Amino acid sequence: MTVTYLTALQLDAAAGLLQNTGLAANAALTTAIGTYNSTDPIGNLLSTLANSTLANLSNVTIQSLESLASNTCPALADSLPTGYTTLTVDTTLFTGLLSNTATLYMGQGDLTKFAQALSQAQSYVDLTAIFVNSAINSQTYLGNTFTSMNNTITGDITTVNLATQAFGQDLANLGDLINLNDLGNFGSPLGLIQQIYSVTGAIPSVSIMFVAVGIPVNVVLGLVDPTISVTDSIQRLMYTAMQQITGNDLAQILSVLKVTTLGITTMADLLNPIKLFPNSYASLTVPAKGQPRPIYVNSTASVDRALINELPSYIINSLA
Amino acid sequence: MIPYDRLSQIVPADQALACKAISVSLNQIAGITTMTLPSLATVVSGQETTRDLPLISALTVAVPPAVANYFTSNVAVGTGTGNSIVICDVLGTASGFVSAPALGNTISRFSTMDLASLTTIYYTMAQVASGIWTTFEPLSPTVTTTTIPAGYPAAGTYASQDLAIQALIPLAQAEIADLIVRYPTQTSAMNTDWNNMATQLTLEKQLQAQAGLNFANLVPNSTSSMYSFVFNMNSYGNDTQVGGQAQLIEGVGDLTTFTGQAVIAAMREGRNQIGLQSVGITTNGPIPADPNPPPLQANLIPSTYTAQQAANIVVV
Repeated sequence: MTVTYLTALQLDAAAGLLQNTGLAANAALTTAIGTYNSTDPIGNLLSTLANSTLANLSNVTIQSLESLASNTCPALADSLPTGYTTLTVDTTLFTGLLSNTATLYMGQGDLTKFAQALSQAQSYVDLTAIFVNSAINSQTYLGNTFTSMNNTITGDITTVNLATQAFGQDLANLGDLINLNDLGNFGSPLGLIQQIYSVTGAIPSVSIMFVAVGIPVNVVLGLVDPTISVTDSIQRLMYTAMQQITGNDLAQILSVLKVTTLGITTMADLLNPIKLFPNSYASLTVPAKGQPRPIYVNSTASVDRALINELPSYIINSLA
Repeated sequence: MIPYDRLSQIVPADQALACKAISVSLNQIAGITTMTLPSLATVVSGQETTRDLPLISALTVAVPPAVANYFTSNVAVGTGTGNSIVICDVLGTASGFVSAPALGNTISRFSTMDLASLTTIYYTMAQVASGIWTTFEPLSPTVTTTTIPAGYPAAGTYASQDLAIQALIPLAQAEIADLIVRYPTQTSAMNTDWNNMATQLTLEKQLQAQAGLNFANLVPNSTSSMYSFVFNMNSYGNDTQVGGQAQLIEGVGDLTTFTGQAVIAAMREGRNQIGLQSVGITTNGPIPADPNPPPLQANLIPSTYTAQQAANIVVV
């Protein structure tokens, strides 16, 4: 049950409102209408129309009086300005229309009708405000960052790959292989080792192979430190070692990482996008200068070398 | 982060470039760094695209200008920010929105104009309509004669009051035309005010129709509607924009009554609450709504076991 309460002032107001007091047509408007209607010219004109039935005035004459000066200066005859075809006045003239309208809005003695009208009107106001403000903001809120409706509705997932089902399946098959918080090192041997070690700790067969290809023992032992950095030449040696890790040793790694991707024959394959995304690599894309650009240009799985000039310079060049 | 020029010295260059491109692309996904790969895989697999919707796929902007223009031209017809609709655009006449100041201006301008001739014409009309200048033929009561005395506009004898009034109408029109020439500033300003009032009334009718608001269909004596109004008074107070709810309700608040003042005070209370709540200050405003004393509880059918009953039930 929703907890709700009234304040003292709300309760103070409620008693009178439920007895139809406390709210009324605007006092300044009521006063102004009364004052205007009692001015010498207007008072006499209204008196004329008030007696129109008694004086047996024709409809033509009444209409002439009701529209007097409507196209020149309606204020001098309390008439409705011309051109407002949805409005009509009677013998109480334009100020009568104002007065009657205000009274109608206030419920004609039943303030619950005003409450209903206000609620209904406010609902409409609130709804339209959303549409209007959204329409206005729609022209600026994205700046020049809009790429496509696909990217918009998928949270930019289609920026990576339009074939969402195939790409999703490839990702699912990769288990815990990729650390999404370390994408800057995606594809590097050190990044892969750190991800493996974060999942399971050091794997002896990997360490043995690293030592075998010439990586210093102290470096190999230090790889369990997630903050370690190694030289590029060491990483090159790690890659060489990974190319030689196959069979049961590889199976152990794939098991640890929950990788079920088919076609992985060496540990080094875990750094190769074509091996990682066998079902979807052909439709991998990258936003380059505002446009999606295929990463692989054709069925031969050649990487688009032009990306070197299209990707941000800090991604390409360590001196950028 | 390892850039391409270094990574390409470690793994095959094409492979390095592809990995860097993929990392750039994945980083477009907001919040990806806090996801796990399995959760990302699940989300990706379930994403639907605009396939086979060529007109949507071809969009180069999220919302074409023509779409936005439709709303700004057809829906944004109010007086709020960006021509959005405010409550006074729908019900403002009740609160004197537009009309009260416009009529006040008209009264002020009347006082700067010599309206004596126009008054005389209207006065003559009123006298004619009142019948004091009309006589009935003794032998034929349906036949009348109306005589506007000498010295009054359109003086003369007419076969009916209607004809006498018709004789006066052109004189009124001529006098008004003369006043427009003599008082161009006042009459122009009054025309602006009166057009504004008529525009306001027209807008209200238009928006009420769009809102489906038909006063003839409102439910009489709907107490629950008033309860809702009372519950919302605090929030009404916080819509302080020009033409907003606070202005509307202040405009219709009858300040000569305790109730009317309580309504205005409740809106002020609502505005205070926002500031107070923002820094954690509580007030004594809320009245406890729980019954006091607590209601007596009904004797319901026993629904729990005694220890002995439970022991008897247990199967060893």
